Order: sequence, then structure tokens, then C-alpha cells
Amino acid sequence: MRSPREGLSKGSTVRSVHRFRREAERRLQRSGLVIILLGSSGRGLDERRDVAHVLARRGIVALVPEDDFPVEIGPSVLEVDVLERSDVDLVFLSIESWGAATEFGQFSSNPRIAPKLRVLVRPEYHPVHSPPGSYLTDLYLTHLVRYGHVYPVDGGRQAPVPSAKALIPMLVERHREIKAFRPLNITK
Amino acid sequence: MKKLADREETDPEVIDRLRAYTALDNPIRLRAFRLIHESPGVPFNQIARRIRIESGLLAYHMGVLKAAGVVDVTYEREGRQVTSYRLGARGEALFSELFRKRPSPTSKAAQGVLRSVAVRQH
Repeated sequence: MRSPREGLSKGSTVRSVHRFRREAERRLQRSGLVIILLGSSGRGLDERRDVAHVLARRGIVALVPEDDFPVEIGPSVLEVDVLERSDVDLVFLSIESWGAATEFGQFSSNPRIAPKLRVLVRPEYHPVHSPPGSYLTDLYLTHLVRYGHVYPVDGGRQAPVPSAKALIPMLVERHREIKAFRPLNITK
Repeated sequence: MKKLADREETDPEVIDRLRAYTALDNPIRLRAFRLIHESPGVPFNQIARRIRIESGLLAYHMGVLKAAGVVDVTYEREGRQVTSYRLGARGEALFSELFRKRPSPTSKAAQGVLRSVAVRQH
């Protein structure tokens, strides 16, 4: 057991960490956040890494499971159960593959995860930009009506919508401002 | 006026502290942080056993510590791949601040410690 000279007790350490965090938040006028960036591999993974780097420079803890999880645990273990019990603030899901679409189905149907979910889809699958045709587009519409936060991204020249790389930092920045100044407005 | 998304923070030290203390502001991660300090190079599975937490949830928490640059990670192959953790320069500086002495978060000593460490470890 540590003597008082060697270190702080367990309870006071927790309080110190919290105090240091609040002090930094007060000085920056922004809240600290933990977010997860989910999506497909390949180009999608490179893009998530770039976004994580941008967010880190703003003081946000941004996880890319393929890079940050231990190798003993596959990224797909980041399942409903883990997200339900974690303290993650936001989960960004870029839907560019059937795997990501399956994850969307799981997360969207869970009332403890769905409010944290930010869904990014290409305009041709977004129910506002294209009429719902498939089951998946219909599911986006349901999520949009229940929770909001289904965003069209990466439209290229055909649709004037932002890239995921531009949209994610903008949404995160506003979320942390709301969390800092009006925390009761954040839906948990 | 710059757009919100374009706005850059001006004080990298405070940004760095916010990221680190957001990561440590959780009892499970704080326990893992202390354990890694006591046993540098400790493998993931051993942390799970010592902290008595399900490995999926622990993977998330270790991911947070890594993404915040609080811990350094190495991957070794011993039959199968093993992930091991140790505190990097930033982690050690934070540990000293939390457990060895009580400098004010704005004191020159605390700022000097953080100024001397690298920006992001991974």
C-alpha cells in the first residue's frame, strides 16, 4: 500500500484525473470526447486514419479499431455488448460494404447505441436524396426519423454534399461544444 | 471568420492534456494504467486476468489508452501474436503527475514535463 508521500489514494486519484480533465476543458471551452470510427477496409480505412489524426490534434480520442485494438481481439468483437457498456460518446459508421450495413442494422435496433450513432452513406442510398427502394435505404429512413443523424457524404460532382473527412470533424466539434455548455441537451 | 471545422486549437499542451485525461477519466482505464506502470511490457491477456474484465470490453479501453498516446504498444509473435503494453514518455510523465507529486495542472513543473514529451506516440 502506498504511503501518502508516495502517491494519492484510489479515490483521490480518480478525483484528480477528473479535475485535470475539467481544467483542460475549461481552458479550451470544449469537452473531451471518445469517438469510434467504423467502416470498411482499404480506402475507407485510410480515410478513417486521416480523420482520427485530425481529431487527435483537437484533443479528441478517436479510435480506429483496426489500429487501436489488440491483435488478440478482432475488430468485429466491437459488438453491441461492448458499445452498450462503454463510455464512448459518438460512433461514426461509414457504410461502404455489406459488413458495415450489417453493423448498422445491429446498432440501429439498440436504443442504448442508436442515439450515439452517426451514419454516413453515399447520396444515392440516402433516403432524402434518393427515394427509398431497397430494404437498407428504408432502414436508413426509419433511423433518420427516429434518431436523425443519417448523413449523405462523398457525392463527387453529382451531389453537392461534404466529404466524410470534412463532415466528421464539423459534427464532432459541435457535439463537444454542446456537451461543454449544455450537457443536458446531449441524448444518451 | 473561420468555419468550426477549420478552427485550430492554439495551445497544444492543453489539447494534449485534454486527450490524455479524457482517456484516464475512467476507473477501468486508470487501473490498467497503474498496472502497466507496475509491469512494463505486460501482455493484453494478463491485464484482462488481473483486472478481471471481459476481453472485448478491455480491448475497447486499451484502444482508448493507445489512441490517446498514453501507452505504447508492441506486437510479438510467441506461437501466436501477443500485444504488450508499456507507458511511453507521456504516460510516465502523467503517472508522475498523478501518483508521485501534486503539482498544480498549471504549474511550471507540470507544463515542463508535458512540453518535453513527443506529440503523439503512434
